[in-house]
Amino acid sequence: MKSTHTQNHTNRTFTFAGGVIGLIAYLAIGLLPSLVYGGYAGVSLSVALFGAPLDASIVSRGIVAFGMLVGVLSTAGLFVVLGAVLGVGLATVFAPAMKKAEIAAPTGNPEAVGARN
Amino acid sequence: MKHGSIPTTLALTLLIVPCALAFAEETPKDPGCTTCHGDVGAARTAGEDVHAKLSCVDCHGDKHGNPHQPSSLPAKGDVIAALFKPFTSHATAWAGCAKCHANEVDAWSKSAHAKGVQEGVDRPHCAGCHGEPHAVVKQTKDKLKMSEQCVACHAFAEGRKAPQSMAVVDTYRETIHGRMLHLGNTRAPSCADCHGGGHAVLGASEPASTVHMGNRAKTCGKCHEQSTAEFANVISHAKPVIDEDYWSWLTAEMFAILTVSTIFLLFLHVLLDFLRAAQQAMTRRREKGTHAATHDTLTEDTPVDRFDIHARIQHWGMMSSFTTLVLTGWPLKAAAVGQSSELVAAIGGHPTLALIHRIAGAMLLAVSVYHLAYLAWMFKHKKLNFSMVPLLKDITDAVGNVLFFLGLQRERPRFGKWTYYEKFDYWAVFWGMFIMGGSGLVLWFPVQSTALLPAQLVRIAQIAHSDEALLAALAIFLWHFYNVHLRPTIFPMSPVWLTGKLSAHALWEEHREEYERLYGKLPPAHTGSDALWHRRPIWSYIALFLVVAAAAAVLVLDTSVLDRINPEGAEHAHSSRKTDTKRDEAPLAAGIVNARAPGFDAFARCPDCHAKGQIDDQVPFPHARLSDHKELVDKGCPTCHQPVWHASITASRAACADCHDTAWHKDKVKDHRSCVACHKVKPSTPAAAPADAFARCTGCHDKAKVDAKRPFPHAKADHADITAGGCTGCHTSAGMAVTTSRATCAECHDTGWHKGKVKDHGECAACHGLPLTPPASDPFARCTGCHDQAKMDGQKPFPHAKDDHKELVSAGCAACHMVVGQTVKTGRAKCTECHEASELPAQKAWETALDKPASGAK
Repeated sequence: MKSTHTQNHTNRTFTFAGGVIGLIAYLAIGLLPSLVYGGYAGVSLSVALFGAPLDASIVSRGIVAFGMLVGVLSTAGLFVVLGAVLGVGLATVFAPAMKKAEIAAPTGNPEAVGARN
Repeated sequence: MKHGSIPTTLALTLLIVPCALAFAEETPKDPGCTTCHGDVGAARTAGEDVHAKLSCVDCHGDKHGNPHQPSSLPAKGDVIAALFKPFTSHATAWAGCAKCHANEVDAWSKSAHAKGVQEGVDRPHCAGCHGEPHAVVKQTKDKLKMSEQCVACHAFAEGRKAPQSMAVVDTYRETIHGRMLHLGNTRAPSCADCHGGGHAVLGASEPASTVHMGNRAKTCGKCHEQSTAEFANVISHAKPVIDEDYWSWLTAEMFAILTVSTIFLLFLHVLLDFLRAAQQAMTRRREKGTHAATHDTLTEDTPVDRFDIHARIQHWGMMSSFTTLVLTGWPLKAAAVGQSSELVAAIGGHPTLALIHRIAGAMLLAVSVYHLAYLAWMFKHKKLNFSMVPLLKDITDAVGNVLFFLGLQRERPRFGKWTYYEKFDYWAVFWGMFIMGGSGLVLWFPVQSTALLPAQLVRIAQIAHSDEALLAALAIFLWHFYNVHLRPTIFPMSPVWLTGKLSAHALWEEHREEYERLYGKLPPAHTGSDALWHRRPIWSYIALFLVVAAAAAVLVLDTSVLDRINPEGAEHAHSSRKTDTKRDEAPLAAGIVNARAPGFDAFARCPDCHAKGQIDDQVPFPHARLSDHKELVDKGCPTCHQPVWHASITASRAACADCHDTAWHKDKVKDHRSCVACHKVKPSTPAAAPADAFARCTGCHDKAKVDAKRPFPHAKADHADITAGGCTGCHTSAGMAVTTSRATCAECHDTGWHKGKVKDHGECAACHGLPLTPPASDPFARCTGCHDQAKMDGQKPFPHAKDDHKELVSAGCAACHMVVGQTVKTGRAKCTECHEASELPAQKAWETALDKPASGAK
């Protein structure tokens, strides 16, 4: 039961760490492109709705701004999820080793056991 | 000579001779021309002229003759010389191009460009594409740069030379070919590849044109093997417009509306859900211990089967293929964004990107087939319980959930096995699978598709693939990722997609009805956690208010939306949408109206690149005419300069028309770039300053050419003092229009006769520009411009039809009809030179005889 709890804890830690790394990676390399591409998507949609050349109207600007916002959110989501998936993968690789280390720790270090007792 | 000097002499010779030869090769051969034309010589040596090795006379005429009067022209050169003659005094120099480039010149001389030149319109000839004639640069192999040469004339709505509008360029950029070219795919066709190789460009209506309907299959066949007429007709960079291609237009409109509205609603749902879930998480943290024991009896780690291995494999396949498709497809859709080409280059170029995209597409199709087979197998073994079918309960659940987000409902809806948003995910993918898969196959095998499907359907597939991809990508990354990964209660993810199992706790939280179905109804104590959710969601109210207020403000404040609401405005907006090609005929289309909307920050964006003071200096008119244009200039750049797309800012001709009557220009100034081309000089100054007397006119009209083409009255000695005073001495401006000189002629000449006789009188020079004494080769020259000689003989047979007058008649009109002053008299006086006056009928009878038909004449 304890080992299952440990594995779950390890998985969750790695997944969370992966998500955070994904978010940091997004801020480093994904933020500006997502703004640009989101804005481009907004422009494309505005052109489809209102025709080209695009009017500098408030609705068009609103759609472009909304496109940028959605671009940021969705791309950030993608980075975070990919990071989290990477974390799960790493947890799958490292969890058995950590489990072995945890099992070995009470028996393999009698002094520590004695000290706890 | 000393012995030791021989090696030295040889060494010097070996050094000097090659240097001298090299120098001789590098320097343009100059037979003394630069003595007078030094600036041209400097231009040739300073630039990267690929013709640097050519001598001046190689182009400017006969090598052994007088370059100013070349005795012969090269083959095909006569065509060019004839075409260019009205435009340049160096027509024979241009003919020199044909000496080496005969094939190109021959092709060009049959092109639409040459036809335009022939019609007197400024169309590109050699220099138009290849650069200034004395600094012709090496032709680039870069197709994108080559196409920019076409864009230079065909792109701009204002100031363009080409008859087509900017839509030609913009729509090409939106095609698969244009996007591939932007991403650096060298196989992608640019303008010249389809439109006659550059020199032989012909209009699509010309039977010989490579893009004529009858020739398109062959043209497309250069790249697409087994190209058919059906396939070729699908390829076009015409934008779908409502009148010409209704279903394609409807598809594009529908997807745009669907995408904006769907993503907006999903975003709102995510926002409210997030705020409510965050409030739940914070409340639980604050009240930890109070309700901690609530789920103890639920055995949180108890696994509940949700997805079997087949479903998980399908999800993994779908997830990886879809993400790959989006990542490899998006750069192509957004090819116009500069970063796309860099991204694609980093991946390995567009061909690699396309290969990866197709592999992922094939994987997606395989997963789709797998899923359909899986459903069939489930159905056959009676395991398919149709739990994913949308029900009425899903609508009530959705409404209830939103009410719960807003604190207007105490409990979350009791979701069954699948929530409404999970069903939405499933059916969105299911519908997308057919649209994306089907349209993807059409794009993958375009020739074969057009053989099997109607052309209309293929065109729709092209639009649907791109637009549905955007909708699907935004929906998955915003909506699905939030629901299964990023929601505060789930973050960083629910493990169900990996293990296929959900904890009993999670099932109780999300699928209460399903939990109760599996484990029975919970005791009342276990429902206590709902109290955590029943707090006033203040932040949800604030967020909802802000979003709704922003959307309402956008809709209310935007004048174009108001225009669309009323029928007149709707028609206006509609016309501006469907007729890009007529953009300049509707100068006050929505773009410029909105740029002038109250509160528009006039100089907010322009000074980033353009220093206002610098503009005033460089382009003084009308910026510098502060007296009568100050108010306009102070309103800001967009008042006159319409932002069109992001690539170009059109000039202000349309805006000028708001106040000035420019109608005259449409007829008279065919290739009129912009008003400031002529009107940049203050109209009040040229007459006062003789040096600038021709300033406003010679920008477009070559004075020497005018004199040569219209010798009268420019070439008349007794008019020299008038012509020296400048064009405006005779050619006057009436408002914005430049009138011809008839009125001015009347200041000195009695033109009264013309009013009665010359009804359709264009201008004095129509007759008087011709030599006063008709040349022997054409004695009728001055008259037949207006009077049809054959018709005149038929209507007024006497004495034209009389055999004994034949000799007189053939001598020309002036033999009998005399010009007295400005009037033309009939020939009675002349008749008396041969006939006795008494032999002639009386005046009245004489005039009647003239009016009699031929049969009655004597």
